[in-house]
Amino acid sequence: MLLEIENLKASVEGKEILKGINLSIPAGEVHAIMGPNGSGKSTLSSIIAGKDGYEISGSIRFDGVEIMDWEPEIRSRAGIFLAFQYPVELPGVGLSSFLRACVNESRKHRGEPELDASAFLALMREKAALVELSQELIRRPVNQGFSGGEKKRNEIFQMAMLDPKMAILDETDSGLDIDALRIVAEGVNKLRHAQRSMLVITHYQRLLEYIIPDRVHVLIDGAIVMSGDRNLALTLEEKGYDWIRAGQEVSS
Amino acid sequence: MTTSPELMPNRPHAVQPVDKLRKLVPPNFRDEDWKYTQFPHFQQYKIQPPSVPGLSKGIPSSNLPIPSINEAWVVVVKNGMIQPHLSHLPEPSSGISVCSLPGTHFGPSVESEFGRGAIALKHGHYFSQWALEQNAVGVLIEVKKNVVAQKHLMIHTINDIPESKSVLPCHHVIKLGPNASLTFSEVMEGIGAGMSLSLHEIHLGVGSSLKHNQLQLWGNTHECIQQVLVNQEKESQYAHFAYCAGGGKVRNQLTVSQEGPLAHTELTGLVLPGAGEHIDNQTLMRHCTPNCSSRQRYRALVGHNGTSVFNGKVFVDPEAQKTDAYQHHASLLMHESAVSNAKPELEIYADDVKCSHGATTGMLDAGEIHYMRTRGLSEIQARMMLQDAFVRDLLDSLPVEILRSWCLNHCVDRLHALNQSTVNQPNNPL
Repeated sequence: MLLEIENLKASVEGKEILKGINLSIPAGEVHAIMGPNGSGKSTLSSIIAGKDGYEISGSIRFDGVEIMDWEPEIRSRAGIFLAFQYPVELPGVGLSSFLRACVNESRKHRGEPELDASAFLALMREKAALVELSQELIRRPVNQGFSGGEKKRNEIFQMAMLDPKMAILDETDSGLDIDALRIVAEGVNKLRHAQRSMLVITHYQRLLEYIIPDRVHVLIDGAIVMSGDRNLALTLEEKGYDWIRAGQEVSS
Repeated sequence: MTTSPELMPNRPHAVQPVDKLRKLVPPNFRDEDWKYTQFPHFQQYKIQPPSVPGLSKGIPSSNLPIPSINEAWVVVVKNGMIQPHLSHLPEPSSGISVCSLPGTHFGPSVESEFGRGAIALKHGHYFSQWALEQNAVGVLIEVKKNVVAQKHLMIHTINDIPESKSVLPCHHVIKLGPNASLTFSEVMEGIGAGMSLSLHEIHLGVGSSLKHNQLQLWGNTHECIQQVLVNQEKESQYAHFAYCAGGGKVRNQLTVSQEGPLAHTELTGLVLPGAGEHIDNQTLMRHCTPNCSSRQRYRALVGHNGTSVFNGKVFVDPEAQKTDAYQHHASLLMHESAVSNAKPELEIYADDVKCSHGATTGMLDAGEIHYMRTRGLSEIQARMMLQDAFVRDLLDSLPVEILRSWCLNHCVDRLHALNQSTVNQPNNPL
């Protein structure tokens, strides 16, 4: 198992958001999490990436190692990547110098030598082409003046640059038009391989037409209430979340 | 409240006799312009005598951005006096003259009343007028009509004033003839706990252009009061860049009058006060004639227990139609004990103008830092990168390469030091 989450609970100011999540993702698999607004999907992804400000209990193991106490940067260097739902603008911080520092931190962590300027530029050109990100955007400060679609493409570009083992895509499809969705999804698909797992968080089945998941989990009210293969996403699209809620009431 | 002449921009003042000045008193906290920066014991300060030329043994610090003599004319001024044996002065054929200014008495080269304190009497504050009264020494720079300086002119100022409550008054005069052009930089070192008090009077003739850069590298107990007074004639251009890296208590006043149409002014400043340091920048931009423009950009990065003050005024006279004025001040506080007092002011008496101003103060955004950490940067790396971005685009507008690269390095070292001292504080944000 690459990522194993056991009985993960999280609350903010006494309000419980995650109520005992159990989730295991083997290496190379793509899992999707679907769920209505406010069900805790973004909280789950933030906590895996190491955001503080929550009271948490339970266990998150990555590559067999407990990471609950790790700082976000250590998780990142170890190979966890979170593509933000709302990517943050960094005023004045150039995208290429930012990424160069990030890539070299990850390389240092793995005991690899830092990339020199020309090797880094070559890598950047190759990865930018993956999500059709123009060289003009790369010269700009991170996300500053980027359109919604450009910001999301930039997240996938950064993911390609950092070459993570585990990528979490938090509503990467939100705010994208049809063409941008296709470009982003194709970029993600090119980054799929046997050693990389992905956790795709989405509201809609639409994204999963492009990024075919191995498993689909339904998160409602802070707990995973149902898991299945990709057909579950289709059923949800057809019947809505009320269908599961109704089922829950019947079974309880 | 004592009303200083600069607060009444529309009422031209006649040159006053010097003895009238004696009735003025030093400004105190009741004076809005001096609310945050006062020198209450100034009247008890001793006057530091100027150095004797030729006696100064050499330049104490060598890691400063002093260009080679192929690139620049470098004039060393120790305690107010030019040190000719350490200086490389412009050749007479260059059309530029640099000489000592012995008090307010000049040789025949200075025309009319300019340089005898005329601008200072009109717009100078108490301390500038006091310096005039003392017949302060300094440097006179003149660039003749139509001369475009072939090299950069640098003054390396070394003010060695060991005792506190002693003051060295200086009075510098810079005059550009019509269509003349000069890049003039000052590297200013202040050693000891004394006070450097300087008055710059700058007159820019029709169509002339002056790029004026100041690197204020005062020691952390040094005091400084400086006023730069600029008169711009028609179509002249003035660009001032201030890099204020420290100082115990620093008060800079920049007063620019555009007195002919189509003049342009750029005022830029970067302020980095650390623990116990207090840096106050005040600008007064006077648009007196039509079709002039001005740009002011100031940034302050304030370490723990540091204080930055900014008060920027823009006055647009009734005649100054089609004025285009912009002013922005931003301060970034590195710790909750850091202080920034900023007040942008606009007073517009003309009805067809474009003026904007703004000021922001805040700490680094936690969301930005978290985002950067999820990409593998440590918290301190993320902070440094955001702080560096905050200062860098301002430094990029420093027009002299040797100064720009030196300031960038100096700034990075300074940010390291400020972050380090912030980390050692209780309630540090790290």
